[in-house]
Amino acid sequence: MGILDLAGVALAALLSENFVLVNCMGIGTRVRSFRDPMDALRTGYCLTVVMVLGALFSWLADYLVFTRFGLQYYRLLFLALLIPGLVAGLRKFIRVCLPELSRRMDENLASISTNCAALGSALLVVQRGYSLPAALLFSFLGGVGATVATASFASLREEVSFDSCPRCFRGLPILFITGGLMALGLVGFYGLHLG
Amino acid sequence: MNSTRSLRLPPQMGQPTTTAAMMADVMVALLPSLAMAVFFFGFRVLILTAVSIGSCLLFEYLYRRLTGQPDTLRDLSACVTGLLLALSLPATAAYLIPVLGAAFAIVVVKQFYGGLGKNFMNPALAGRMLLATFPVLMTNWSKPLDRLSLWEVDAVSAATPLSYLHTGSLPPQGLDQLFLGLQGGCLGEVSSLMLLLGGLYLVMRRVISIRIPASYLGTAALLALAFVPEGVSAGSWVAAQLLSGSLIFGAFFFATDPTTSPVTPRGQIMFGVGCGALTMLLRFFSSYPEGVGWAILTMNCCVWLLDRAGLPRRFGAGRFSVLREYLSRARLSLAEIHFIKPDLHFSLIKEGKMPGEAHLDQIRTQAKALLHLGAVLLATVLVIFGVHRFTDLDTARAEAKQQQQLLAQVMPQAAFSSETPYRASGALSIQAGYSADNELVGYCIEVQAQGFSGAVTMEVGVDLDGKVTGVAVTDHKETSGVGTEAMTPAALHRYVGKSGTIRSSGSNSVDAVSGATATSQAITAGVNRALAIVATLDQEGGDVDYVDGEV
Repeated sequence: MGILDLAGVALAALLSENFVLVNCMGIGTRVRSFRDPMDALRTGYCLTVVMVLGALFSWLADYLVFTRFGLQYYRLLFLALLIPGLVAGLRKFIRVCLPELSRRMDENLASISTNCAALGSALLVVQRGYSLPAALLFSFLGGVGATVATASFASLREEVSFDSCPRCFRGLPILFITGGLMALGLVGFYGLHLG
Repeated sequence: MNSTRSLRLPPQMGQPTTTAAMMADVMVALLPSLAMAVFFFGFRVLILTAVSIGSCLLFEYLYRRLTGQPDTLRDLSACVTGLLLALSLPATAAYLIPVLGAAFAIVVVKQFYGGLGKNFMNPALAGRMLLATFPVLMTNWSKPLDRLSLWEVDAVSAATPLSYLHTGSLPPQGLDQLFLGLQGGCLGEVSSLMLLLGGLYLVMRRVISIRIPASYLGTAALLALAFVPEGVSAGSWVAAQLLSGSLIFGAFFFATDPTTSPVTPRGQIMFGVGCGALTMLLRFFSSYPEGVGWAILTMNCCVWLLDRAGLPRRFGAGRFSVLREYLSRARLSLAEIHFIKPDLHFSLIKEGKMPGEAHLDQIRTQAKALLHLGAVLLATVLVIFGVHRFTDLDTARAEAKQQQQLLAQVMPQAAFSSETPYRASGALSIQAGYSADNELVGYCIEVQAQGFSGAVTMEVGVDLDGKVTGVAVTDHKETSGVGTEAMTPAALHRYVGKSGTIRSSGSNSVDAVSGATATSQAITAGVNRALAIVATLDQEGGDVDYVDGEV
């Protein structure tokens, strides 16, 4: 793919197909990440790493095994095993070799094993048939976009008071409305394409 | 000695000191634009404005009353929201539209977060952008000086200057017409002269500061200068970009809302630059012709970040002291993370046991944990395999039938098709269609083109004379009811028999379906691409290669 196509894929993953605000794949992120900006950033870093590795492995598996032998019906099962297995492997590796990092980020990394965005990026990359550089760029910038969206939401929660609404809206409903307002700002970016 | 002394303290020019005075100043600043809109579009504008302001006041009063909170109508902020909302509508808007926008703006965006000063998004802009997501409501732009009646909306819709700029050409109106307001568009955005007068009034009254509008317009002008299309003079392109659409309206009246813009000076400049950059990005590369509203809304969500970044530095500290401190703290924190080499030797034979048994002790615990997973995995694999074996014949039959139906739509003269080993850039697949007695009839090319909300995938049949035999859309993301009007069988039938390069007007053209311009243009672009591929199929050095091996 040319540079312009790669740039278009990158911009799409960041803005017009933001994993949290547009593709609605923020399910599975731990609740504390939506409340505390530092925790959101940590979860975001782990999510980006897992998304990139997941996209890499799923692309390789698709290219070497599934398409070559025509076994696409096993793809979803493989991906359902790949992401938690990847997270478990990463956790074990970091716990043995980088104990300080594990002390800080183990909970966040553990919460990624059921994150929709990780599985979503691995699946979208093979469903849309991206090439390998496009797949890695898409998953990396998708992770960055998800990080920015979650961190923005968490910081917004610190700035804005959510108790002035009617009692039936307090708690989760007003948070959903806030997320919806943030997503409204991104509607203008749907269908953004370079060139 | 007994002369009357002036009791006014310096500065002698009065500044608004209450919220109501500030809001009144904003309304005064918007009066010239309103008057110009009435001049261009008729008295309907006044009724629309009255409906908008009235419904804003009503919703605010009702909400405050029903939730038992003190009445806030006195601070005139609801009036300003209503006036801004009304001025950002097209003249052909139905009377119910500002009511819907007002309900969303006042109740959800403003009051749910605590009322004036506590919202994080501009209410009038959010209401306007909500209405923009209903594509049918807001895209009927009438010509100026075409005064509409109060009841029937029967305007001749004309292309706005922005739609010309979106396709990369200068609008037909001259710069003086754009400046005065003889252009189609929203009520408030047409007359740049009146908007600039109002903005100047606000700056002189110290209601807003010049930082945000100046940085917004400056960034927009610089980016417009960087992306001049060929054949157009740079100066007139930049001026047309600045004067059309709601750029000036947004820069002076929406982006400067004190609640939803940064407080610090540097933050304000960064806000303006960000808005300008996003506006130009959206204007050049997105499917909507106008990007001002979306840009300001997106930047509204980042105001906290800009304020934190724009905090003035401590007296005596260096220029980047905060950044340097942050970096040194981050470096110290990262230096605590050390890499420890793992201990990777296994001893397989322990003393006191038969060789091989200790190994089993080690793995017994792990195997127990993995056993359950393995059993479930095996069962799942068997189930998937069984289901696939039972259904793959039916799946293949259904796929073949779907392929046959597609072929009947795309190339009715062909009886069956098969994939060819040709590859071309821009074509997803090239298939050859054969008649019942094995004669080559033509080629079916699968191409993609950018529609309004994403890629439109279509299959185009071209016979050996280079004429289109049929078009079928296999995948799209367009809005149903709006973009899909261009994909009905009747609309696609217009392409049959065309050859060469299909234009959008003139000879050898297919008109765009009204209301689905982007989708129609995408389908035309796809058909042109397919025709170009078939034309170069037999030539050496065309962009079709023969790929040997598996197809």
